[in-house]
Amino acid sequence: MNSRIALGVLVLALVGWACPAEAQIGVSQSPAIAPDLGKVIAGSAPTTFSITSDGTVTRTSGNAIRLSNGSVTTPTISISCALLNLVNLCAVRYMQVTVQPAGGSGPASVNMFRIGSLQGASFRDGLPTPASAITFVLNPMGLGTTTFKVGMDVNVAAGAASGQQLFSYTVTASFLQ
Amino acid sequence: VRTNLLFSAGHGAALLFLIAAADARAQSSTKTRAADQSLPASGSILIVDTLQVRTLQPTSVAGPGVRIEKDGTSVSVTTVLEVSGGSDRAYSLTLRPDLSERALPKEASAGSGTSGNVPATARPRRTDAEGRDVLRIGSQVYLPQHAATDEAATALIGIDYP
Repeated sequence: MNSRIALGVLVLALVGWACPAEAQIGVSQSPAIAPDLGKVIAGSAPTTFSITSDGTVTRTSGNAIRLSNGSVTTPTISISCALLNLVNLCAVRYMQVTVQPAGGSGPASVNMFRIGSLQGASFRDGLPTPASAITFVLNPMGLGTTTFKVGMDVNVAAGAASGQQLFSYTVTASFLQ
Repeated sequence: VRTNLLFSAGHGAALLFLIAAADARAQSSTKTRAADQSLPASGSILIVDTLQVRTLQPTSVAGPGVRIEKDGTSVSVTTVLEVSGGSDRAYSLTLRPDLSERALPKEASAGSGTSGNVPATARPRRTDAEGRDVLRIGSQVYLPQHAATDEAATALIGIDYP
């Protein structure tokens, strides 16, 4: 009897060990491309457009011209633990989130991030301070979905050539050890 | 009774073993698989063509096809754009003159509202005698009352067309 139980335990343990860890934390953005500043006339000096987490756009430096005065849709980042994600104990663990610019050589880039209000979880250390790259820790979120908006400062280079430009960034979620 | 006790003890050991295995697995994934939860994200911006014109005097003409008139309190910008192509092409043009701050009196440059959006007006397109499409757009920018008539103003005009 004991040997049969031990064998069963060993099989279960090996199955659990073999489960892939990928996609244990789900991270997504909506809309897919956000924010969209629309048409901008490049200026003779580097220009910064500041986008609050609620989408208001303000030119804070430089002389480029954004043709619209309207607000934009800021990205909503969603983080979730997959249902029955028991292997990593995702629902009960602290999670570290990093928002930072991605590499790129285009005339538009992000040089400041602002994290908006959080839904579905709480910050372990309070609302993060705006910075060129932000790392913060979420308290255990349970099985629900956590969302937050990201505002940012977008820099447009002087004399930028015409065309569609993307400014890229990454959002990374990992378990805090 | 002895068999039942052994069975219970076996389940307890199995549970502890599973938890330990899962925790070790989780710790390992934190160290080595953080990049698996990385989301590439982006925003977008469309940089449009520009014409930069400068005018110093009323009714002066600067730049090809661009006329700026100034009557002391306002600047009228009229642009005539000639483009080649079939007469059925659709054009989308935008015009937003933006007065440089250095062009305005210091006391009037803050909060004067002179560098905001100015709606562009597109007039009906026509084809000239040589068969070129001609578009004429105009707009107006108001200067502060204190602006001197000979002060420099810079207007940037964005034009987006196929």
